[in-house]
Formats: sequence, C-alpha cells, structure tokens
Amino acid sequence: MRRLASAIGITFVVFFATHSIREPRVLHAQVRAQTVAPSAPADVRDWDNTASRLLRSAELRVRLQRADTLLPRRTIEQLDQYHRGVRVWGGSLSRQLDDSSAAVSVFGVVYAGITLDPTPTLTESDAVAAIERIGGARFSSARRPELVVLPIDDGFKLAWVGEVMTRRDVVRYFVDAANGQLIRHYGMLQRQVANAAIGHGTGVLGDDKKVSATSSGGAFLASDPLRPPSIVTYDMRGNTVRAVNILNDVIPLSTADVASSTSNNWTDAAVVDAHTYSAYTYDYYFKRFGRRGLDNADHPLRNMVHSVQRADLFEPGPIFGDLFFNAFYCGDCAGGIMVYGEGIPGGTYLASGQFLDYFSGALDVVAHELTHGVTNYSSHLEYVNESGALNEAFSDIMGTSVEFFFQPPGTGLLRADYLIGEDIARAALPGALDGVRSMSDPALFDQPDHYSKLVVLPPDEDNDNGGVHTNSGIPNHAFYLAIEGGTNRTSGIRVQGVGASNREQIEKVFYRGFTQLMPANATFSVARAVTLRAAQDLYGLNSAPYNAVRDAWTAVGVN
Amino acid sequence: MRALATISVWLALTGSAGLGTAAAQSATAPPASKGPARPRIRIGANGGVQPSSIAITSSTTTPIYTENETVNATYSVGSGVFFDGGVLVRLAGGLHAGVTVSSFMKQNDGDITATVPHPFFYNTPRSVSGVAAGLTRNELVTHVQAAYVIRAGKSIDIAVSVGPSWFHVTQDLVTGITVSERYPYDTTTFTGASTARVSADSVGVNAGADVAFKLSKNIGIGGLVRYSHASVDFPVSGALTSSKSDAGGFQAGGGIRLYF
Repeated sequence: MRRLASAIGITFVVFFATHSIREPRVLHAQVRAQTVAPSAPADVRDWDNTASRLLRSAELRVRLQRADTLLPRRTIEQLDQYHRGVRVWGGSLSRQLDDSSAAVSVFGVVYAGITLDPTPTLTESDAVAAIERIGGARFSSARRPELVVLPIDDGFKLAWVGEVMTRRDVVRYFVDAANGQLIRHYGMLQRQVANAAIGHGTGVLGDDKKVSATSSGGAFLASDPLRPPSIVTYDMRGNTVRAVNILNDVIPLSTADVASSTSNNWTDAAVVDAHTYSAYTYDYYFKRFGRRGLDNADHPLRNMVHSVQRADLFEPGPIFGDLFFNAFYCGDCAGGIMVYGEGIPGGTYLASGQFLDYFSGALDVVAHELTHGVTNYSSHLEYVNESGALNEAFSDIMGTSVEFFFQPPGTGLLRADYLIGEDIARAALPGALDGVRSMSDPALFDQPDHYSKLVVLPPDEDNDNGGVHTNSGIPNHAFYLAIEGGTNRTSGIRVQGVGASNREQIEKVFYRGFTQLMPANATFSVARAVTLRAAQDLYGLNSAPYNAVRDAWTAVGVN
Repeated sequence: MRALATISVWLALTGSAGLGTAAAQSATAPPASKGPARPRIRIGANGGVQPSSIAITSSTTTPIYTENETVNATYSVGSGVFFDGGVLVRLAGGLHAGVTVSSFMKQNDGDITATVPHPFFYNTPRSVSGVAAGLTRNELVTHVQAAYVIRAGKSIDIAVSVGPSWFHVTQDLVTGITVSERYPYDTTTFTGASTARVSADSVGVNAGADVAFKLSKNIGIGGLVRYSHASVDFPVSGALTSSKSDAGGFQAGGGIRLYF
C-alpha cells in the first residue's frame, strides 16, 4: 500500500498502488485530485507501473510521445486521463522513460472516484447552440466541442467544452452536458499585456534586419522559405471583419492575405518584426534545445498583423481591444496563429503613462506568445490559477531567454534585460515605466515576488483567469534568481545564481521541466519538483544549477 | 598592363664544338690567329625547368543575402617546364642583338578562403575554405636581348645578355564559389569554385647566360640560365575585384644551337 498526499493541501487520497483510479480508498468526500510528484526511485517505479496499467485499461491515453531533445535515449510521454472513453479535464501525467523504457520521472495530476455516466443528454449540436447562445458569437464549423469529465468543487460534471471568439476574447465555455447550463468559462487569449489601457504609440524602432521572403510573380511574400517550418506573416490591412472571421475559422487565410513587398525592401515595421522575430524564436528553440518549433515537428508559424487600424480605436462600434493593445497566440484559430496588436494611435497614451507600439516590435513579446504555442503542444498547462500563472511565467522566461540570445545585455531599446515588453510599452510620461512586467523586481509592476503574496482571484476572464498575469511574478522571479542570484525582498533568502554566463543551464532546466515533465494542472509546487528533476537529469543532484533552482524556489516561498 | 622596370640578367651560355670550324668562319671572320670566324646568326631552341614559385592572389566580391560574399584565392605556381626558341644576330665583334620567345605552362591549385554572409543576420559571416584544382597558367614571353658573345675556347663560347621582356600571361582565376548550407546556416561547406581564364600583358626585363659547344660548323649544343620578371595585374571584371601576379623567374635548360 502506498500513501499519496496532495501537494496542494486540498484533498487527500489514499489508494493501493496496485489498484486503478476507479477503485480508490477515499478519505475525503470532495474531488479527489492526486498530485503526482514522486522523488524516490521506488515511488517513481510504482507510479510508472500504475501508469502502464492505466494505459492498458484505457484510463490513460498517450497524447504525445517524442524523443527527448536534451538528453539522448530519453523519451517523454504526455498521458491524458480518460473515464470510460471521455477525457477527464486536467487529468494528465508526464512520464520520462530511459532507453530501457524504465521511468525516470512521473509528474501529473489524476482524479479518482469518478462514477458518473459518460452519456450526454445534450447532443453535440445542442452544445454548439448552447455555447453560441451564451457566448453571443458564432461557433465555426471548423471547431467542434469536446465532451469531457470536468472536475468541480463537489464532484464531477459531464460537460461539453468549446471556444468562440467574442469581441473581448476567445472564451472557453464549459456547459453541462445534461442541460446546457454554463458551468465555467474563461478567456483563452494568452495575452502579453493584461488590462492595457489606451495610450500613445510612435511607430517603429528603426533597426535594420534581414527578412526571409519568397519571390513570387515579381513580388516578394513574407513567407520564409529557408527555415524548416512554414513561417508566413499575414497583413490584414486593417480589415477587422475579415481578421475576426479568419480567427473564428469562418473563412480561411489566403495567399492574398500574405504581406508583400514589390522590392523586397520592407517598410512595414509591424510586418518586418513579426516575421523576423517569430523566426528568431524558432531559431532559439532549435539552437538551444534542439526543438523544432511549437510542436517539435515544425508546425507552421503564422503571424497576423494590422488586424485593425489604429485610427479605428476611437470609432463607434464594436472594439476588439486585444487587436489593439495586446498580442496573443490562438492555437485554435486558423490552425494556430500569432496575432499582434496594432498599438495605439499617435498622441495617446495609457493611464500608466506608457505608449504602446506595434506589438510585434518586441522580441520578448513575440517569443512569449509563441511559447504559449509550445506550451499548448507540450505540457498543456491549463490557463487558469497557478497552472495558468506557470503558463504565463514560462512564456516570460522563454521570451526573456530569446532576448538574451539575440540582443546584447543592457538597458534601453533592443537590449536584453529582465523586463517584459519594454520595447513596445514605453514610458511616455515622467515617472512611467518601460515594460509590463519585471522578472528581477516583480513588485515594480504589482506582481508578487513570494508565494505568501499569491493573489487569489476568481478564475474567470474578468479576473485574468485567477490572476495568471499577476502570480506569474513568483516563478518569474525564481528563474531570475537562479541565474543572476540575489536576495528575495520578501523572504530575505539569498540565492547563489549560476551567473549570467551560465544562463543556458537554467534555461535548459526550465525548458525541460516545463515542456517535458510538467503536467497540465501543475501547481507552483509541482513546478519546483519538475524543474529540480530537470536540473538533476541535466546536471546532477546538488550541481550548481540544481542548487540554484532549489534555492530560488525556496526564496520565493515555493516548497 | 603595367611595366615594371625590374632588372633582369640574361646569361646565355653558348657552347660550340670544334667540328667543322672552317665552315663556321665567315668572310668577316677575325684573323686565323684569333680562331674561327664568328657566325653571324645564332639560333637556339631549348627546353628546361622553371623552378620558381610564383604567388598569385585574387579577390572577388559577390552580393548575396544583402551583404557581400568575399572570396580570396592564392595560387602557387610550382616548378614547370619551359620551351623557348630564339635568334641572335651579330652586330659587330662580340655584340649581338636578338629575340627569344619562351613558353611556360603549368597547372596549379588555388587555395580559397571566403566569408559568406548569414542569410538571417547581419555581420555574422561564415568562413569557408577550399581548393580549386587544375588551374592553368601560361606565360608566353618575348625576350629582346642585347648580347655579348665571348669566345672561351676553340668550340666554346659564352653569351651574356640583357634586355626587356614582353609577358603575355594567361591564368585561370577563381571568380566565385559554390557552397552547401542548411538550416540553421551557421556554418557552410565548400563544394566547388567557378573560374574564368584571364590574360594580361606586362613588360619586364631579362638577363641570362648561355654556354654553347659547337659540334660542327652549323650545329651545337648549349645550356642556359635566365632570369626574367614582370608584375601582372589581371583585368578586373564582374565579381573579380583584384588579382596580381608575378611572372617569369629563373629558368635553366639546354638544347641545340644552329649557326649561320
């Protein structure tokens, strides 16, 4: 018998390692979420055996299986939990196997005690109608809702889940499969700048860079023919209706939407930066980790710019705010696409005293958003609460890492630093700050730098899905401390970082932890466990990177 | 074409045999006490070795990836065989004037170093090196000579000469390279070179010595050493931005001599 305790302190489940999830010995009446983060080899073997048995009984199914890009002869599996053929929302395991197929690590969250009948009363068509009615938006034919078992506070619900793009957001709705009532909803746009306000923009940064284009019919298209994946940048030329229809999969992208130049001398700065910075991000992942794009299989990279015109911001009618002052990766839109906000008209600025430039103009912003795509194809971190904050943090971590890879360190424009978005959210008024977040000093932008300051908000789109852009400050700061070292202002704990010259070590640790070992419903505590496991895998127990990561998490109050 | 006033010495060692000396005497021959009469015309044909090692450089610049690819090549012309033929006409006493045409041909390799721009990033050139093999060099040189012939014995005479030389040099030069590259394009591999045959003329000087041994009145054998030199600038066109070459060098050989 093995006793397993929840790391999040909400529930406890005890069950026999030889039993399936359907046969637990329940000690708590509520949802039995089991956080899986064994560290002892014997426990890892037990969970490996359990996972294998659940795979045979179809209670777990392999979602992803791929070779480890950082360690030879390792395989990573992402396993989703199922209940009688229906996916259990948020139930997943990440299993690392060696060349003899023995488990090296197992992390995840699984649910026990599911007894509901997985036969829905509502048909799929009924679910589409319900979601369209609730969301006030059309459900494209390209997307279908999925029937899932949804863990809720007092048990489980059979639910249909689907996403539609509203005027505010792409919203994920969960409706009761019995009666069509709304159970849960939250925004899916993985934003760079949350709650941005109207400000002032000045245009381009003026740096010269190469653009990899395709010659076609006497013109040049923003389609990169040299990199392994298709990298295409689409210019919607301010046609918002068309842009939104494309994002909702009502109409497809066409060649006519591809940004073009007659001379291959590109003057549209938003196009140039979207096209090149998305390619740089691909380069970084390839060179640093051997990863081939978002899905590690050269999934196409699509960029969309000018989905609105800046001047339309003050026009009467519906406002798609995210298309002005945000950037987001929508994995379900047009086969997965990056959408870069247009910024704000000249002469205006945000309440924060910042003006916003074209969002593609910041390398860390572009890399941040594309990393959401990486997350979608790897850990699938649920974009709500702590897992959502981890999702955001990983995007900040990779965004900053890409910046340090391509730009010289320093302060100011086109310099690598620990600010997020400083190249496009620039101080316009005295006392205003550059950027939207700081990994070195999260408090600068009202983010917590310690777990004791975790901001607890309702997990809906009106509250940033539980403060995912706020609480990301905690893992962000841990990453910073692990590299640069220093003292956490809240705990007073000092960390010996690996040093800037060794930043590659910490980048690899976090990459490995977040893309290979992290389960979808991870908490900060699980993130600590997976990054420590990654550090041990890569550099050994008690190595300098291992100690730096351990001490950094401890300093920010995550144990 | 550029003429360089490089001093050269042409030493012609002419040997003449003691056979048929009477026939070798001319109407203006010196008194019998001074030996046979000097021939008026001396014709020589030689083959030999040109052991000099000439260094050539060339450079090309080709726009690619919005920057310039630069290819530098150096060629070492090793030892080779030359052939020449010439004539000396006696003007007065031992003083002669003449002309010799010399041909030198050699195939050589070119060592290439190049910097190829990165397709994605400025100021991130990739270095590559390679060899272009089988490049042909041909020097056709016309030596104009003022020679003085010294009789060193009954059948042996020695000619020393000096004069200007007109060089016509043909050389295969590297005009570009081909490389193989693949993502992420941080390195590149040399796969070949394109070449062009260029020619240039230049004026230099020559000096030499020739020792001849007469086998009969009209025939002899001889050996020579010669040094000639010029500097050549090959014409610049297309991607080729510069190429300089020395020409000539030491030659040593031997052959037949005809006297009239």
